[in-house]
Amino acid sequence: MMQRKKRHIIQAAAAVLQNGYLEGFFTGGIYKGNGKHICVPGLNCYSCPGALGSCPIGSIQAVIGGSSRDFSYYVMGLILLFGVILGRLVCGFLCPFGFVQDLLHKFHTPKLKIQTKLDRTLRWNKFLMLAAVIFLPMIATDAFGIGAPYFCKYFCPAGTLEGGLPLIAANSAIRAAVGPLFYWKLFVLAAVIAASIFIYRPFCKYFCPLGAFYGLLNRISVFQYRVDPGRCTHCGACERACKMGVDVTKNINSIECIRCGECRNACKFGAISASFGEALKSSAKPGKPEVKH
Amino acid sequence: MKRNVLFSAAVLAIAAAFIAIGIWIGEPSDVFSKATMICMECIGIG
Repeated sequence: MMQRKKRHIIQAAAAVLQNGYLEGFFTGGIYKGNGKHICVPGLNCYSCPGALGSCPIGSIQAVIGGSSRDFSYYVMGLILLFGVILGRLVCGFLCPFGFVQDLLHKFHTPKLKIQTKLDRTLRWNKFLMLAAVIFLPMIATDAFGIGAPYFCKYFCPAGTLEGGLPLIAANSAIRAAVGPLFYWKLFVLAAVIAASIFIYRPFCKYFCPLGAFYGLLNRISVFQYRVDPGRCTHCGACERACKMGVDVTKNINSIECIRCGECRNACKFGAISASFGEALKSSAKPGKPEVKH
Repeated sequence: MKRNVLFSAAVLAIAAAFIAIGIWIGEPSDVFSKATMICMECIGIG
């Protein structure tokens, strides 16, 4: 419980640090300083009035969709860097929209368990979203060779929550421009919010292109989880605690693991460890399980 | 596991190279110019 609270404190601090331009919430404008040259690791709309950095998903679409470039070395390099160091630790600790979903899931309601087969099929959807983020602005362009940020425009609920709603509240010109697209995005946001109450992190599991990208790097990231086979009793407590449905003892660094640490907290035998360089430690002694005393 | 370490080192090197190339060709300015204007698509205005 204490560990979970610590994680929520870090999540709250990360959300505040990434959205610390408070003036924007009152004036209905956005931050225009140098911080916007750099992408933040999580999904955080750069049109949020408080945003101090750029959203990697918005940025990659903006660069690829522009008329002058077909690939974004800079943004791809940044998300590769975040991913290869942290993997989906970004989702568990640093992503503001992930934090919102965590909070929504705290409502005391019956929780929904999606049928395993359907759940597994739906999880592939986030890779379709990732492909759409990278390829749609490249392929579906207008007469000037400009591609729209399709994911942001038609789907991203983070943009509606963090950017749309605060700007509409504080900026009368934007409020006057509200049309059918905004109502569609509001519907998507409402659906994600409602689903988050009953299902743990539905957006992260089924829709987030950034989570899909970081998930692909989970297995090779510098930050790793590890199960000590000498201590594991196969009691199944870790798997029951995992809300992302990871098969902890078989594949602890799964694509789906957001590194929230619930499995480690649930293990009474101290069999699960996590740190930067776990892979280095175990490669130093191949085949020998490290039994902790 | 050792293969994973080598693989992560390679990805780290690629990431660093991509960032360097991106900075060299001026991509941060593209990101900055987009991110300092309200993105009408992102907020659902169109």
